[in-house]
Amino acid sequence: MSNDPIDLEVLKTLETVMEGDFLLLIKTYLKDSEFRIEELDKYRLSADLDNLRRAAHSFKGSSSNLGALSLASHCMNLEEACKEGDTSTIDTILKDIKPEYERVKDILRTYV
Amino acid sequence: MQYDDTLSILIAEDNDSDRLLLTTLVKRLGHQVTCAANGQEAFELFEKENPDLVLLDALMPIMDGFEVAVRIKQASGDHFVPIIFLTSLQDPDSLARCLESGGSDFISKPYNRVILEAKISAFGRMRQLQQTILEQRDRLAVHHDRLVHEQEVAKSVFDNIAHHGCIGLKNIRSLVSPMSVFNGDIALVEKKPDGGVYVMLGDFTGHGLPAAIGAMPVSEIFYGMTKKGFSVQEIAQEVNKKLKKILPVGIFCCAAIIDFNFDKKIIQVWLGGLPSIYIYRPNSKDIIEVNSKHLPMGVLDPSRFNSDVQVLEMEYGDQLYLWSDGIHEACNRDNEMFGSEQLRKVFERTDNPKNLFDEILSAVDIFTDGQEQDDDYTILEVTMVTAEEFEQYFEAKEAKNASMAVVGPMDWVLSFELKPLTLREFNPLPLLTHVIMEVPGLKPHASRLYTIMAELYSNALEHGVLGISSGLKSSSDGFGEYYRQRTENLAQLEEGHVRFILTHVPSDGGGKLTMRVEDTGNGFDYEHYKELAHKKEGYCGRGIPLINTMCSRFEYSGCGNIVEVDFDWKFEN
Repeated sequence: MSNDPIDLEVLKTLETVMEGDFLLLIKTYLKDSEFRIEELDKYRLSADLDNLRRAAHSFKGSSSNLGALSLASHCMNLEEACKEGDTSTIDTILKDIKPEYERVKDILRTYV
Repeated sequence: MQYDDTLSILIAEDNDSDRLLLTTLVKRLGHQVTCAANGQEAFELFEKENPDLVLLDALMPIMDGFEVAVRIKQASGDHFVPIIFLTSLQDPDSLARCLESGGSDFISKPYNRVILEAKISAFGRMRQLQQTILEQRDRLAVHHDRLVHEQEVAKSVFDNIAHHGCIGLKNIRSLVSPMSVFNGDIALVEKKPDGGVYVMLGDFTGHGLPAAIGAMPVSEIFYGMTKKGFSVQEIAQEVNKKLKKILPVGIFCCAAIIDFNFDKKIIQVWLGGLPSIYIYRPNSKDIIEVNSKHLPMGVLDPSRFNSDVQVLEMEYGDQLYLWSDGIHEACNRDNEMFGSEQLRKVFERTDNPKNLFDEILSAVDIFTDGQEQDDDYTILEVTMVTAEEFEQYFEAKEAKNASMAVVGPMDWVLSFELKPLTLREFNPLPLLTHVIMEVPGLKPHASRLYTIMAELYSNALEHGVLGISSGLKSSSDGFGEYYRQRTENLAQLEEGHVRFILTHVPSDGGGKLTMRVEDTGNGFDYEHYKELAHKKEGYCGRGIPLINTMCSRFEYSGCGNIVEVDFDWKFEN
């Protein structure tokens, strides 16, 4: 896996497949992701690990589909940590997720 | 198989961007898509749209994918609606849960277009196949139901025609083992107009419906002709003729027809192709075997068919056994047959002949030990009883059936003259009985009237026209000689006649039937006979004492070649 925030091959394929809806997909992903980031903070504060896990799971799925593999990988680790109830790992991962998402967002914004 | 590639697909996914991506991918594959953002919405859309296939995210708010899957499975019943779980779940427990809740497969994220297309297409075809199977199953079920219904209707028609008649009377026992709904064996018993009984057993080639079809015309002929007073020979001739005409080559009917005359204690047997009949005499413990003398019915052309009967005596209490070869050929687990030797042993070792029927059945049961049998088997037991005893069994039944109709011929005269050619070939009694039975209210008296007419006719023909001495019948040896002379003289008959003049007049609450029978014979000294009339004679003589008790007037005239009797009758209540 490269260190690139987004696999550009994946994006290129999506552009072909989605045709006119490609921009809509990017916008939808960004909107959805902002919502997930908010959810992660909210559920960490309330220590609701179950919903935290669900949010991580959902974020993982959409990020993988967009080719944001590194971000998806962080989400997967977060999902695992939630299942195990390992709060210190959760906090570490949460710290890593935000800057990673920012990198993804920067690339995607160039399309919008 | 016709296969429409376009499917209607329900996508349930809470993540907006994934849902958008998947929807676009699936639409690009040419399918119709409906979308839901949570589980509850997914199930509502499923019920509304009735999609062919469901792509279902496992983790969704409000109602998760597992629960939606369970509900969809319940709602779709027999119909196969493939559910493919959309999941990035990895652990085996979660995947197992997907399958347990009714999922057929998984698609993991990130979505791969090629895999998505392959899976949708595979499950689309599987669904189509399942649909076809369901339709065929339903068609098959409808067809099967109709077939069973038709069989039931056919069976009830069959049972009405090929019923067992008088089976079930005290002196007649029977067992007809059905291999299937329809049976290739028939057992028929019917009372003759003169009070005796005819018993018929038939075993058609094969079993089940093909074998049973032939039983219907046989039953109709048997019952119809027996009621009209035809002889065993005539019935055998007619049944053979019918079966020869309708049965395909290779299908025939092994059969026996037996005439029981309870008055004279004799039986006449026509036996073709069935195992030997046994007559068991409880007093001497003798077993008389009566062998088949003929080919089965339905084999020979009517012109070559031999209807000769064997005449045998039976004492009161003697038991006759008639069976299909299913008894003899009943097999045990080693494929050995029960056989006639073992059957004979049952008779030899019995302590109580009254139980023989059950002893035979239980011997066969023990031998076969529950082994499934290939053929129907049928067994009939008839015990020789006195005519009075036998008559008792019918009285209640006849009273029930007596017709109270009063429309029909009440005052009439019928004259019927039989010339030599007719006397040789034709039995006039069924025809005359048929005419007499048209008189309303006379049916319950059929048995007595037939007896009277039969006696008068046989006297006129045998002692009158043919000139055979009645003395011959006084010994049992003489019977054979008597029948031999009868056959011979009849075949050579060139002149003479028998004339019936039947007159019926109505009377208060009934009527009077006068029967006058004239023949061209030499007559006899009837004045002398009157003096002897009080003597009880057996089956010899002219059977007059018996008739005397039934008629209100009995008179000879001419030289003894004319006899006239009056039969007075009343309507029965």
